[in-house]
Amino acid sequence: MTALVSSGIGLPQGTKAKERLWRLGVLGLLLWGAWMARDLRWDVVWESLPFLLKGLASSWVLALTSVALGSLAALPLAAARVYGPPGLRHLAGAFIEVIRATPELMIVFWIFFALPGLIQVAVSNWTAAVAALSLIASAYLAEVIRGGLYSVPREQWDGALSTGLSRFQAFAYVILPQALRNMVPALVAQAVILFKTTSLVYVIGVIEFFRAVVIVNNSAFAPYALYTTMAIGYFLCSWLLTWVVRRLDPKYLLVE
Amino acid sequence: MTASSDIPSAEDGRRPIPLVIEFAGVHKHFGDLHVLQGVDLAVGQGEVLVICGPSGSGKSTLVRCVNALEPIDEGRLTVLGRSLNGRTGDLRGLRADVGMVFQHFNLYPHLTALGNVTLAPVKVRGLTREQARNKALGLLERVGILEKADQHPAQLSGGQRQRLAIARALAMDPKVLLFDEPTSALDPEMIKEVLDVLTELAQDGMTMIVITHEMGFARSVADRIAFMDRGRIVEAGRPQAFFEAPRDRRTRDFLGKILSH
Repeated sequence: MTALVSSGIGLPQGTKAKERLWRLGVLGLLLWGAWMARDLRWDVVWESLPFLLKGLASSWVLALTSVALGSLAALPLAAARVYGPPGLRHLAGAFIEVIRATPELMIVFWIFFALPGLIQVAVSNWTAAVAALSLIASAYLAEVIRGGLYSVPREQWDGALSTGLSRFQAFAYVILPQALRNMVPALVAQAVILFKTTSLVYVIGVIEFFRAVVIVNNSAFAPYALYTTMAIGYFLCSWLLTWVVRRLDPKYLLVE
Repeated sequence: MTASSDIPSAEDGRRPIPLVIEFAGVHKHFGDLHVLQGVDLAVGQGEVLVICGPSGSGKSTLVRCVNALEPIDEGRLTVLGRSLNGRTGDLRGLRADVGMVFQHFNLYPHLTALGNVTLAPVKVRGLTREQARNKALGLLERVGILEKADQHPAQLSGGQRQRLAIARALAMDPKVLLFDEPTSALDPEMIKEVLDVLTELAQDGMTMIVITHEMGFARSVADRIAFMDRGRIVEAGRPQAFFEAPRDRRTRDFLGKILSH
């Protein structure tokens, strides 16, 4: 109880000193961990670094392609779900809900194994990976966009339509720009989740970062060094992604 | 049924003015709510009509029907020669000619004052950016906020925002302007600056429907005042007659309430 009280906002000076102490403690812990791990085959990471970086690059390609393709589909999906006539609205809603309510791994398997039988066309593992990740991205991004659209007051439609703009023009020039501003935090979270989701396609043999690490480990067996490298790799990429998307936030460009 | 369907100025014997807006037995429902219960109303070219009445009486809905923001359910509604019974194809053309100013401004927060004014002229009227910009600057000067051209609505005072909204409506060269309680969301010291703009527009011959409870403005600027209650126009007439000899008991009650202090 006293700990709770003393960590409160009421004690600025004490808190500052305490925070510095905590930071030192965390830093010390990390240094200690690194010291203890000094003999755990970091040379394997060093030697396989080109291969691992190539895998990481593939992860980025997968993430960026699927987010780009997913966004293209997500915008009409969200617009259909919010403004569409009943039939279209339910169709968009059903698609989004089915994707969101089934495991991502199952979607990857389904596209790679079930779909080729259905359409009688062989699907390469890269094509299947991009298709599955794009589907997943489109459903989740559509929900982010829908939230953004709901955040714009209805009166904005009145204002725009009353000047003679068509519904499409009102959407494109008045509603969507404001919705995009409001969806940046949710977009950041979703981009990071989608980046991490790319690791799932390792199960169908796409050599991205996750599979690259597994392959190296299968031959050289240095799990501590390799999986720690993997953690650091994913963390740094997610962090970079967060930083970049936040830079896109138009609030930095607008004077309130 | 009442004087409300009279053609303006016909009563004092001058030649009839061409009608711009004509309601005949218009009904409108929101679910179980019967908002407009047979409205008859005519507005002539260049006329300034003030509508007043208690909240929930259907004033806003009536005005929103004029630019088809709300479709009517029954009756006939003709605006600028276009019939608005049911949905017609050319709503955009109609709305481009009928400007509207809202109680809460409904400005675009992500655009500058200039951007707010130029958007529709560029996208709907097909003006070039340069033409639209020049026109917008002229309008901003006319409503007295030229120096705010590059600022966003959030940086303007309430009165400046409403004047910006008027400039946005004027940018489309409307033939009719609708005002839905344009001063109700303003602090008292800002009401005058907005009413001054409205007065100038009226003097320039703009056809206007103004929902307001600013009775001083109504008395000096309106050609006619209509009182609405429970979805009907109870009484309409020239300001002098309306204020000095209201015929209906409900009008007298209402005027008693809003003019008592």
